[in-house]
Parts: sequence; C-alpha cells; structure tokens
Amino acid sequence: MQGYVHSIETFGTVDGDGIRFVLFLSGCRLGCKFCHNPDSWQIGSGQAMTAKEILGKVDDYRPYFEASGGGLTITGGDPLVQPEFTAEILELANKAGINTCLETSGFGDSEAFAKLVSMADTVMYGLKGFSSKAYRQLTAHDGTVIRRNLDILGKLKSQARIRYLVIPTVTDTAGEIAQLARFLRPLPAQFEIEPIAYHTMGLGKWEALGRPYQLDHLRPPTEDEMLSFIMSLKQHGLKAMGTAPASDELSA
Amino acid sequence: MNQAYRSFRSGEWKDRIDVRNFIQTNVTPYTGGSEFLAGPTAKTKVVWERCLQLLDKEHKAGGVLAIDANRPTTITSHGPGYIDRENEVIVGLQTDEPLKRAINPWGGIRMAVRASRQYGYDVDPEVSRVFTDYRRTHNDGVFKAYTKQMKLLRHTGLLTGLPDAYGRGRIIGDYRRVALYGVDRLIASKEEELNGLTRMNEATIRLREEISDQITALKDLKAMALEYGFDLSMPARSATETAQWLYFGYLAAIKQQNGAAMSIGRINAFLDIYVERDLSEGTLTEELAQEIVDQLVIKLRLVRQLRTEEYNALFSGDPNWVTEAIGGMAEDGRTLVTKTAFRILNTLYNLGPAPEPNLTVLWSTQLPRGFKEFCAKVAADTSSIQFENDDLMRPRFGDDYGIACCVSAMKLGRQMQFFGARANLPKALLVLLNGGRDEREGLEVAPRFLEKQAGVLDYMTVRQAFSQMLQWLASVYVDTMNVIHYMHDKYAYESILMALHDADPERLMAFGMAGLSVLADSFAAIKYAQVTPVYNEDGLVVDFEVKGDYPQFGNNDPRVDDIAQELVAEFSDYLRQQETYRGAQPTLSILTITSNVVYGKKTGATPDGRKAGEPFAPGANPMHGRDRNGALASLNSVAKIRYDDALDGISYTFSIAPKALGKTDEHRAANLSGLIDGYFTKQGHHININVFDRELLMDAMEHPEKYPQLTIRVSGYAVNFVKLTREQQEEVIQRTIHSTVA
Repeated sequence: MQGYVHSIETFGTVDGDGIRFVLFLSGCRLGCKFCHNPDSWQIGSGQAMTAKEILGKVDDYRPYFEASGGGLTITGGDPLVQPEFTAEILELANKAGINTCLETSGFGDSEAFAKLVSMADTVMYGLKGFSSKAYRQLTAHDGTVIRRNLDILGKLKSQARIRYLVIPTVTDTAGEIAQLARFLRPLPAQFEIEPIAYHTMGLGKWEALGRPYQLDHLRPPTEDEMLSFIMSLKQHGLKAMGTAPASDELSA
Repeated sequence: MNQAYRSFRSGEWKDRIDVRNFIQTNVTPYTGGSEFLAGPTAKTKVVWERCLQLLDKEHKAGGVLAIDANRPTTITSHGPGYIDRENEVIVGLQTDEPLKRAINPWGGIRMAVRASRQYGYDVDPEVSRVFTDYRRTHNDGVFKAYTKQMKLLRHTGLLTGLPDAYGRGRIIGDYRRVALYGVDRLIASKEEELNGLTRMNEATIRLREEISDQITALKDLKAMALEYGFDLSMPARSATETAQWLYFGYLAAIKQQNGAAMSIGRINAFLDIYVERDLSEGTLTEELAQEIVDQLVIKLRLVRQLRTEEYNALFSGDPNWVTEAIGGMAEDGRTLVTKTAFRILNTLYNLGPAPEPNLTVLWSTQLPRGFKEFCAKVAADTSSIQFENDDLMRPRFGDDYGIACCVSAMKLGRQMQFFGARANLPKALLVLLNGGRDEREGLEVAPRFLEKQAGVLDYMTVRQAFSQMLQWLASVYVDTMNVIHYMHDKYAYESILMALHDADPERLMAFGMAGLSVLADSFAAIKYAQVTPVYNEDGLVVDFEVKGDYPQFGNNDPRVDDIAQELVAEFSDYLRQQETYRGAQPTLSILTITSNVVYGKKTGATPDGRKAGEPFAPGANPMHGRDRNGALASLNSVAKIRYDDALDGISYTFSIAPKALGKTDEHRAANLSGLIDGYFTKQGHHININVFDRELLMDAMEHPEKYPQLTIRVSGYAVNFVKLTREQQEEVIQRTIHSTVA
C-alpha cells in the first residue's frame, strides 16, 4: 500500500544501533508545543510511496547496516498515524532480514500499537514527561493514551528504550520521576532511559509558519541539571543511559 | 652472506630486484590495537618545535621563507642542511636550510623567474641566459610542438592544469630499493639492463640514453648522501639506516624534480621488517622506533617546491602529495598491516595534524578490526587521512602498489604514469551549445557539432551531439598529452625516479574529468525539466531558464546517476581509442584537487541552474546542497561510477559534524568504520573524511592565528585550512557538512 513520507536520512547515527536508514513518516497528532518539525504534522502531506518502494531503497544500504550492526528506523511525525503502512514496511523489512527500530511518542490506537511493537526489533518510546499535568502543559493531550501504550510496550517487549525529554521544572521534577518509576517497576520489560535535553531550535520553524511559540518561558537544562536528573533516575532504580547528551541534540 | 640481511628469510628478492617478494617473505602482520604506541621522544620534540617556529615564520612571510635563486637544483646542487643537527635522527634537506626553496628551470625558466620575482627574488641572469640561449626547457619544447588548437584549448580552459611548465610528477620511485639493495647493486642491475639493449631503433636508443642517465643519477645519489656522511653503496643494516636510505632516495627525487605530486610510496610494511628485527635484537625500543617514524615524517612535512601564484590558485595550500599508502591486504589473504602502519598514523598525535605526508589508508573490509578502529579514530580526531578501496585496487594492481597524488594507483617500480591534468566537461557542453565557440570570449575552439538551439533544449539532440564533442575532445586531449610527455621525457627526464623502476616499466596516461556532477545534473535538467538557453547580442549562451524539477546527482536516484555513469564510461572509451605516446594505457580520474574553484570561475552558467563563475563540486562529489537524503545516498550515487571506467581514481570528499557521527567517541569510530566498509562494499573507490563543525571553520577564517595546524581534507589531499585562499575557504565552508536532522 501507499503511505506518506516526510523525508529520508540515509546516514542516521543517533536513532538506534549502528548506521540507520531513518524514515520520517508524515503526520503527527500529539501537537507538542516545542516540536522542531511542525511541518511534519500534517496527515497526508509529503511524498507518496509504497512500502515496496521504500524497502527497495533501504535494501541499497544493506552493506552499511551489516558493517555497523544498523538497520531501518521508522519515525516521523509519528508512525502510529499510518499504522497499516508502517506494519507493511516492518513486515517487508523482517522478511528481508533488516533490523528494525520503531520510534514513536505512543499517541495512537492501542491495538495498532501493539501490533507494530511486536513486529519491530526494537522500540524507542518518546516521553514528554509522565503525568497528565506535564502532557497538558507541553502537548495538545493529557497523556492517557501514551501511558496505556507504555503499559502495553512494557508487557510485550523484554527490552525497550524510553527517550525522555528533560525540561527544567516541568518534566524533571521529583514527582514526575517518582510516578514514572512506580509505573515502570511492575512491568516485565527492562527499560533503559535516554534523557534528551530540551532545546529551542524549533523556534525558527514556528516563526516561519507564523504560529506563536507557546513555551517561551521554558529553558533548556544545564549540564548539571541533566546529571542530577540521571542521578534521580538511578535513585529510583531506573536504568539511565550514559552521560547527558548535549543540549542541541535531536529530541523525538 | 651480507650482514645487512642477517636473520631475513631468503627468497627471490635476493636474486633479483623484487621488494614485494622481500616484504611477502619477511613481514610480520599485526592484528592488535593501538595500545603499544609511544609518544614523541625529547629529540623529536625539540626538532618539531623548531620546525613549528620556522613554519610560522614561513606563513607570516607570505608562504615562502627563502629562495636560492642562483643555483638550479640538482641531486647534488646543495650541500648538507640541518634543522637541529644534534637532535635529528633522520637527516637531509633540499637546500642548505630548512624551507629554503631552490629554482628548477628544467621545467621552464620563465616560471622559475616569475615565481622568484613574486616573492621578491631575482634569478641569477647567468642562469636565465643558460636556460634561454643554450639549454631548452620542457616548457619551450612543448610550445615548439603545440598546435594552434592546443593553445586555444589551454587558453579557454577546456584543458587546464597541464604539466607543460612544471614537473609532471605522479611517478613514484621505489625508494625501498635503495635501502634493501644499496646503490651499487642497483647500478649493477641497471648496467645489465643497458647491456641487454643492443638492437638499435628509436625506442632502444632512447631507452639506452635514459638508463645511462639513471646510472648517473644513482651515482649522484651516493655523492649527495656522502656529504651527510652516509655511504649508500651497501644495503641498510638497521631500521634507522633503512629510513635514512629510503629518505635519501626520496630527497634526490624531489631535488631533481618539482613534480606536482611526489609520493613516497608504500614504506610502512617494509620499514616494519627492519624495526621488528632491531626490536628482537634488543637494539631498538618502541620509543625509538616511533622516533624514527616521527623524524622521517617531519622531513616529509618540510618538502618545498617553488611555485607561481597562478599554480597556487589551482593547487592551493602548497601541497606536494607526499603520499604514503598504508596497510592493505596481501594477495594470499594475510594483512599487510604492521605496527609501523600504526606508528605512521600516530605521528598525527605526536606531531599534531598536518596535510603532509598524504596519509592514505588502503582499506579492505578484511583489515584487522583493531586497525580499522584506530584509523576511524584518527580520521575523526584529525581530519587528516584518506581511505582507498584496497579490495578494488588489489585485483588490478597487485598487493604492492602505491598511490600517486591522491587516487592514482600504480605497481611500485613496475608502472609509471604520464600525468594528464583534466578536461572541463561542463565547459565542453557550453562550447557545444555555442556551436563550437567558447562561452566567455566567443573564440572558436571546437568544431560545430550542433546548430543554434531555439527554445527548449531537446535531450536526445544535445546528448547525441555531446558524444561527438566528447569524441573530438578525447582525440585533441590525447594529442596534447602526447606532446607534453614527449617533451618532458626529452628535457626534464626524471632519471633518479626512473632509476628506481624496472628497465621499461608499463606506462599509464592519466586523463582527468572535472565537473562531473554539474554535467550530470545539466543533462538531467535538460531531460527532466525544461531548459531554455538565454542568448546575448553576440549570440552566445549566457544563462539558462530552468522550469520544473529534475533529479540531482547525490540522491541515489538512478535517473541521473546513470547519466553520470554513462558519461564517464563514454569518455573513457574514446580516450582508449587514441594512440598514445610510448604506448601508454589511457586511464581517467574524477578528481579536481582544489581547482574546482578556478574551473567554476572560468565557466559560464550551466543548464543545471549553476550561475556563471560558481565553483564546481570537488572530484566526483554531488553539488553542494543538492544531496538531500543524507550521506549514504550521496555515497551510493558516487559508487555507481565504475572503477574500470576511471582507473585513475574517483575522489569523494565527505564532511560531517561530530555530533552527526554518533554520541560517543566509540560510536563515532564504529560508525565511520561501518560507513567506509559499506561504501567500499558498494565498490566506492576513495573517500576523504572530515569531521568538524562549520563554526570551527568560520572561526578559523576570522582568527587564523588560533589554528596553525588545523587540517582538512579536500579533493584527494589534505591542506592547512589557513593556507587556503579566502575564496577557497568560503567554498569549503559552503560544502555540504552532514549534520543531525533537526
């Protein structure tokens, strides 16, 4: 079937293991107020392609995957906006023996989500805080669906990575961390948390689109704040990834 | 039994001149990591510190520290020179002082005079008189034979960078022979070759004269070394002597010849055999082994030739392409990586990054993992090394080839090359569209293959006419090259370089193509968009209106990539159909050095939408900013150009921001290594790797004093960023630097 592709990055090195073909699908419904790619939200925008066409392209990079332990990463937008299309791509990639990574913010139909999660080799789950309060402040929704899908992920997979957006005073509070820890603890999956520092690089795009940037009062975390965030994750028995990434890195 | 050969395994190398066989029978492959490496010794630090002061002085003096404008350079022209005699472990300079340049009038006296004058020196009038009235130069010879047509091609820039006024270079002496056999044995072997040439025809007579000159050059080499207190008659007995012997061989070559590119060859595994022996005999430590390598490399960093400003604009940053080919695999499946391969790369840490020697890793997917990781780390840390596909070259050149200049492979001591500069193919397209006239001056430079086109250009019409143009260009290009190399052999023969070759080596004639991505995109535009030429009042095309989108080279899109691949194959075929001087085998490179800026400057607007005067992309690179699917799409496009169609090399320069390469140093090295493995599995030939942020370069442009050693890779070589012209710096900054997707 056909779906919509926002863009392609053939040399992805920060979205999964090894060298990745990163497929950015169009469409996202979460409405993050900090998003640095608001132009990717629109459903049905971008280039129309079939899953087969995409795999044809991906297959051309196999030697790079084999040399580096890489593969295909499907992200967006959010792949959950085009679940059937995403499923077909994953199916074809699985048949071709290409490692797959699904990156999503988890805002989508739970049944579809469960199917995609079970098909992908690895999942990167982008949390923008944990509580309804945090989600309401940062997105157009309250995070109920996202917590439900996180629960599904925790039951379906033995391992998964959470990419957690760190915004001082909003998502790095003791309350947010404690709630997250309580939620994850009973789940069978081993979660690994990658803290992603908030940055304001998206600002320009909002201006270009003539839309007001609503998070002017927020600022990126300092290096110390990133470190102390990692410390508190560890104190709650959560597995945190390495040192804090620099502030202008990708957040998903 | 020669004491120099103690404990070496015997082989055919003892009975005949065969360095490869010596390496194969005695090499100790190393499959470990870099942990054994040592830092610089006190002596090395003192010598290098002194060099840094001199280099700074040279830079502040406008690029040239001093010139001896009185004594033309020969192997024995200048007596011993030192940097710091007490602390130098390897000795020998081109003149009596470090960085002092000599004049080399054999290539052309006018160039020597002009270059000297540009830096405030006057060539001794007596020297001028001798090389004007009594001794013909290469340059004079060429212009005696050039046709009007050839002069026009040269003037309009359809052919550029022709080696008709300076040394052609690109010939690699097998300097290892000096160390392994000693000069007396080499002379004896040359005398034997000479005695075998008895049937007199033009070819043998010429060869007899050349070999006699080679014997003289070998004797001069001995005389030169004697002035430093070394007797090169016999083989080298230790690692220090080996490095010294082969460096003297190289020194004689660069004193005799001011060739544009003067590679050192492939010395790492060879030198390692001697280092290993000394280590096992207890006469050497790791520190001292590194000292030998560091000090040899210091010498290679100080190579200087006198060039004109016009030359510098073409080949920016004072390069000499002292190319050393490192690593690779043997035909029997063993690796040729030794600890000395690591030691040579380690000089970039011990002495800091530098453009010379032009460190070139012969990369195979089969290389030991530890070496791959170290190479990737060095590339990410220093942006000073390049990688070439050993798996592609080995089947064609064996396992003892070197790299001349940037990407030109040749069997060491068994093949040589006639360097052929390059043709500007986007300009050829413009000349075609102008009915044979040059697009800038309106000069009639080519036959009319196409009538004036009214309205939108038709792809088939233009493409078919371009085939005629290419065929014609190939014939006049080869003719021009035949003239140049006939005269170079006659008036500026490289007797010492050829003395370090077999008697009558295979000859390659290396042609070049500039502007491939502009050309491919131009044809894709004509085919897939609507391109209408805009004429001026003289009826010359000054611009193009481009309506609609078209596929661009660098996005792994077969619609345009196939056009690029076909153009290269076609031009290569036409070149192969021509008759060449001395039966040389024509080859082709897709390489521009830094001349892509000058070529662009001299080329009008092109159908791809590039404006008049704008730079081309370097080498086989896609045009800046047109590769929109990330680095690998760009690599895969370039990999489609077949190496067999461009056997002289296909250069690709890759720049990436550190953060886009991975999150940690380990990830960066692993990803880089994976990228090279992948590209070479896709049959890519060459990749320069730069890892830096654009901001760093911008800062270096404003504050050059802060970045004396900042090194970047350009097309096929590395350069001190601060030595580039402002224009070239800006061009480098504008290039695609792959960064994270935001």
